Amino acid sequence: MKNRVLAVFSSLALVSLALAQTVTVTDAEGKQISISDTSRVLTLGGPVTEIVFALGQGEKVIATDTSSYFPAAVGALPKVGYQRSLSSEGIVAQKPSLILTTTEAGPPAAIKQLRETGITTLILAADPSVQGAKNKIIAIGKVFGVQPRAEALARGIDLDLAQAKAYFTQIKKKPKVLFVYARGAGTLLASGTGSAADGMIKLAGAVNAITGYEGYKPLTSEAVVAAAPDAVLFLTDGLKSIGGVEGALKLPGIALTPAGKNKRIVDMDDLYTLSFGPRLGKAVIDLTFLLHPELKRPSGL
Amino acid sequence: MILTRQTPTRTSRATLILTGLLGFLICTIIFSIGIGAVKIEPLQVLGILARAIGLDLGIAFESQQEAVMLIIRLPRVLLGILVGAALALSGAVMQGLFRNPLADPGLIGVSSGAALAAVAMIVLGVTVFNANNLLALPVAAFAGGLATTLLVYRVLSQNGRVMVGTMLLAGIAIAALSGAATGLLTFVATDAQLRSITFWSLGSLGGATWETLGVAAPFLVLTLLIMLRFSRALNAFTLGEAEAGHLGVDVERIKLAAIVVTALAVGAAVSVVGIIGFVGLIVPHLLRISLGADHRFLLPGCILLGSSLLLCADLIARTIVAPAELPIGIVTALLGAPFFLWMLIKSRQVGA
Amino acid sequence: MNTSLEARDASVIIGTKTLLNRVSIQVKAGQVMALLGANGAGKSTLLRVLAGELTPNTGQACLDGQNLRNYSNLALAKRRAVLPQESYLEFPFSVLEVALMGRSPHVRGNESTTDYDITRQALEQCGVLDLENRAYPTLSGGERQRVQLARVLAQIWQDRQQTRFLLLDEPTSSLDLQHQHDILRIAREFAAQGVGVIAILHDLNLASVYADQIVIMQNGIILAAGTPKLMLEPNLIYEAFKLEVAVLPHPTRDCPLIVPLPN
Repeated sequence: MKNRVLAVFSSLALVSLALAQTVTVTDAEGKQISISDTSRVLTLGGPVTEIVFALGQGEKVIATDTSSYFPAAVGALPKVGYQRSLSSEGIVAQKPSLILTTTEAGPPAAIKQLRETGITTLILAADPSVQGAKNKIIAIGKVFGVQPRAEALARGIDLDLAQAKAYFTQIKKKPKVLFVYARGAGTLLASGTGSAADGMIKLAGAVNAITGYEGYKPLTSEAVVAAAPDAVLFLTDGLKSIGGVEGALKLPGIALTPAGKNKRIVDMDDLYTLSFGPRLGKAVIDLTFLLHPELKRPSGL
Repeated sequence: MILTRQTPTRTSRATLILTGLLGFLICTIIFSIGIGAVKIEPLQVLGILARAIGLDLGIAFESQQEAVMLIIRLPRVLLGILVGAALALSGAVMQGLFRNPLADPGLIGVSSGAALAAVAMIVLGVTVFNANNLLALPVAAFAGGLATTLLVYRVLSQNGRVMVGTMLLAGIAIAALSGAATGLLTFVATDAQLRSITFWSLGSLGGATWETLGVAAPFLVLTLLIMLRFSRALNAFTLGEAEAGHLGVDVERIKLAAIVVTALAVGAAVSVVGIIGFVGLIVPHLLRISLGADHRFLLPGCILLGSSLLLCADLIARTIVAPAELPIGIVTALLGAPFFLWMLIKSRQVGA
Repeated sequence: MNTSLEARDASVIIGTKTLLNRVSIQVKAGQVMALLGANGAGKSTLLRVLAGELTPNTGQACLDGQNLRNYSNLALAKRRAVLPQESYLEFPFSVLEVALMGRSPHVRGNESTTDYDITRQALEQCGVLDLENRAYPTLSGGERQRVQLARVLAQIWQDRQQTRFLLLDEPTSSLDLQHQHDILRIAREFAAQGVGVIAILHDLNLASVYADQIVIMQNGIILAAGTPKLMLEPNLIYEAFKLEVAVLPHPTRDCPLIVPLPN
């Protein structure tokens, strides 16, 4: 009898705990989303998944999309497709209690269907900027009730950025960097202003070699020569797809640039470089040293 | 001289085949609703349907199953039926009109025009993120498809007469042109846009909601009904345009009507599910082998077989890589293209 | 009542080319008229005008004295049938189905037993009834032409009130000798029932044997028209075809026999 009373009490306590955990988070459209159950979370998009894991909530994640490949523990989870071409039914079948994603997820119809099935869905602004990264971290911290940890994580980014800045301000001349998005030698796009790559180049104390347009445009050899970059930045997979540094130097025009003459072809991981997630600060430090070969990197940084 | 034979055997055989096809369609519908990432037993399907109209049959099912069936799968299956029927029927109408068993509903430029409009919209910056804009892309695609067909028609009709043979060639040229324009846009597209383009240009029923169904269904149902009325005229058309005229068919009126109605049907289909190839080409072919060429049996057959085959293809598309999903156009092309080649080889052997 | 199919002063101009220049002819009930002439003389254009397929730029085509434009397609289809030169049909219709299409102007809904009876009689008359279940694309050229003839015969098989007309565009071009004669014999039999027949022919001897009237065309005008005996004479033939011929009496029939004399 006593045991039963205890059981009732403890279950009541659990219920009240769950109720206490109901939080309200503002989504990308400014709508208030109430979240009460974070036991089975499905994350869509690399940065969101990374943030959840960085906040120590990885074990609540039951499935992700294919763009989520960091940290390594994500690899064992079911994948529901790529975040931009989702199938709602596959997601529902995972029985998530909460879907966490950004405005990059789509197609819109799938998102609409998910909402209609009644699964709590929190869509945060994708916003590839420092503030955007911190906003996502704080919002997700609130979702899981771990605000202090989230704030610490966000502060860490600021500290890393400050550290990177302390280094690159030592160098007077800002290197001109050309970011090339490659999908094989046939498809080469150069980043203009306003892209995530452009943001990263600036954060790392360099300047974008191309300022004439916004977003991405096909790379022409003449434009490359005219831009005269000091370094060419690729994503690691992209550089591989054109045959590594050797292949990059053979691209029309590259050889004629300062970057080509000095063999300043550098690469960084896709998600790490462009996702504006919890590793943003570290990525900026790495990129700073990649783009400023004059700087000596102290051990331990 | 006794020449009378009461019931022509072909008619009764055709009726039998059509009944069989109807049975096949009903089976496919039941399977399509039941099978998927979330499994729903046939009895549960009944139970959920009954609950939706306020009856309790006492059949147990989870609320997740109910949500999946009513919100995701039912509109998807219904859209699949209508789109499959529209594509196959349009294929048969175009083949009859162009007197060419290899004609495809895409020939009048409607699919390539719709594709171009949609891709342009994706790449040239109209963001279609929020749910209110959900219909912007379909509407653009629909308009693009119709505009292209009208252009082809305007260019090729002289004094109200359409040169059917030239239209076929023009369709190829238009398809190449918009293919190039689409390629150009693909080239400047970012990775994100490219994904939306691929997703859309290879077709998918995944976007089916009651809302899209509500918008597309009136067009599709209406055009299906109109196309069924073309059967006798199409029979005459297969003899030749002049011959059809000699048989009392109002040739120019039927041509115009057939082209406009087909453009509406294919445009509506493409705008909600993207481009799904081979259905319009293969279904009429398959049916001619068993049913014969008489459009009075062929056209209803196209509705039945077109919808069942599209549902089957969709079933494969959403189960083979579950919980993710393949574009359905990949499935229809992978199954359809080799089959089509086989048919060509076979028909050449018969011809030789 | 004036029961005839006629062209009155009909001209057809396409672009700057005059295909038909103020042509007048009249086919009467029960008559077989042969249209002769070198290639490009305007025979097919005239046939298309008489079929109502082509509206003349000036002048008119009339059925029973009424302009063809005042008839609906369907009304015309019940009165006249046209046998095309050649018919490409890619679709696997059965022979019976193809011939049955001839009945379509008369049918609303489904074909009646009468329609099937008429169609089978037409197939029988053309000697292809035994092929009725064959797929049309598997037939030989000659068989196809006879099935097409059965189709157009079925189209105007019976009508006791109004005169019917049968237009044949080079009906014998793909046929062997025996079948050339078969087709024209059938046309003659139809004419005997009161059907007006007009046929474009290339073989002068076929025209000589089967036609009541011969119309010789050249450069869009009518060079001469009259009975075979009057028309088939060496000078006129040389004028129309630039071919030397000798004209002999036919050994068994009362008509001329033309023997070409190539140099």
